[in-house]
Amino acid sequence: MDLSQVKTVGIVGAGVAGLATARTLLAQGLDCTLFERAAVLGGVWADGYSNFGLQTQSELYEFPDWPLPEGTPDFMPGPIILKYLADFADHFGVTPHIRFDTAVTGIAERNGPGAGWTIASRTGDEARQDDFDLVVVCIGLYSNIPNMPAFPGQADFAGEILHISGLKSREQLAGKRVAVLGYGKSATDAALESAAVAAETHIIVRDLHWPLPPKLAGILPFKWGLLNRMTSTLIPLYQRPTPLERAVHGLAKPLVWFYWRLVEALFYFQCRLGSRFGTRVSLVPDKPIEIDAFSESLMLPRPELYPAIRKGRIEAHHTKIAGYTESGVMLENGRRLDIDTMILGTGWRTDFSFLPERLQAALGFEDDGFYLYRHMLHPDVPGLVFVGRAATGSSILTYSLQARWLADLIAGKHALPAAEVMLQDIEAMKAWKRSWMPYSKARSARLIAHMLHYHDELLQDLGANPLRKTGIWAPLRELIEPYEPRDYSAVVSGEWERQEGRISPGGA
Amino acid sequence: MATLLWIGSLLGVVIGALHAVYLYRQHVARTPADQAGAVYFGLWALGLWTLFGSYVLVLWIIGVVAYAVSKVIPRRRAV
Repeated sequence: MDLSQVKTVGIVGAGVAGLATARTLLAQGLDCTLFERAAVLGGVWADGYSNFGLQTQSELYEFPDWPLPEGTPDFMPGPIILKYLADFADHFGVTPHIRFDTAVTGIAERNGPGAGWTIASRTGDEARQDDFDLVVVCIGLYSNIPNMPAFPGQADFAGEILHISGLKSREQLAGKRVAVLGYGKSATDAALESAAVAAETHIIVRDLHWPLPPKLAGILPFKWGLLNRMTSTLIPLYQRPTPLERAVHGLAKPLVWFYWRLVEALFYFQCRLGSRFGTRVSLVPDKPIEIDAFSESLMLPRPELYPAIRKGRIEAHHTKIAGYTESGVMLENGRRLDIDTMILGTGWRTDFSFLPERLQAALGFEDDGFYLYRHMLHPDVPGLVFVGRAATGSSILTYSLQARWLADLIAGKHALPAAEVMLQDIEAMKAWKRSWMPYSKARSARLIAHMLHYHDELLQDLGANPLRKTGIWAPLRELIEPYEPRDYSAVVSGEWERQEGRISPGGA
Repeated sequence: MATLLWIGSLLGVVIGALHAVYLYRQHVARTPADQAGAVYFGLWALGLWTLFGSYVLVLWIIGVVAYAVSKVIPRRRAV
């Protein structure tokens, strides 16, 4: 796959991944056009549900070389994030390159594989086609289509069925009897919104998950327990483990096992998951935490969720929906709930229908998604790259590094291995994930706490030092200090080459 | 107790030395000119393992016992 002749780039999506990609490629002198179907940039942040916002500390959600403004609060509300992204796009000259209200209706290979692409798009009633040397798909994992499971008897239900995206204000639920289906971030947020104003709030949970509190033991921000190299060593082995990691998970396995049981005990008591008094259901998950953390989504609930459940403001049901009745829902545990509104906090699906069937087949769409080399490209589809198909503990950082990796690939600063090697790597990644990672439709893209392993691989491809901590205490900091976007500032900006002596100060 | 401390520290020295060699080689492979940095990282690894070797050993022993007990006690989930 030779990208050295790329001059024009079509970028599908102007969310975080699209903005990071455009900024990096524009800085390299490439001609970029972004296609954004919404009226504003921002992707998932462009239009959220009531009171939506970030589920992590703010310093984990900033572009590595574009810090958040001083005084930005933790767990940023959605509108603040949206302004930050808009300012980023304006500052780096990305905004003029975005075609808003423009949906990509199809892409086609020009004159065969590797010869460029034609993107078909529609803005209102106007259809057009544009040619590009390279297409970068930046539509993320949870963007287009609300996932709305259907249940028997739905047509008879007299109440309202609402996807979480339709909950624009908690006042929609005032005085009503509400049930929320799901246990992820959006579902639990919806339950809290409902609990503030509704007459009754229920949350129906099929699969329990270990929560990750914002502060461990109420003291230490969770990043200290998730995003450092010590934790990277203790989570299930990466696809390509180091000798130390092999030894830790071999001879020292009882120590690793014991560590994670201590973590479970901490969260059990901190969130008081096991209360069975009264009608309260136990919220202790079945899966061990080190496996569960790689499930559909890392669960970072608001601190007020479990107190609300304990106090009865939200009634939790660990069961499934059997079907709807005229006045509510019947649960599989035999309980019947009379409700006015059902909120489906069941996430999203990404629509790849704009990709022709030949490409979907070549990419290898399967039940858990499609697997890519470095989570970005497939040797059988040259000239098509995905930025944003890697779910990690700091997605904005990962997408920025992916954009840099792509930019340097185009510039010829690093090269891809042979196609056979990439295909072998894809199969190995697929086998590795399927051997232990819980199933979900986006498993192919999930990395979560393996973020550091993945980032190390990208940096090694670039030729940059994956150890980013500096100073006299660097070795200790490498072990215990969490990695944050700012640690990679020099890599994303390209300055690392000068800093690490890869190029002479005066030139390339 | 003292014996345990000595054994743990000795274990830490052995593991630390191995880890130090590994880190040295990794560092030199990435940045051949920075041998001093490679030695620095290696010394830190040796020092930390020596310092905490006994603690790691104790936790490992507790882990072995707890792991064995967990296999004996019937549980509703796989560990």
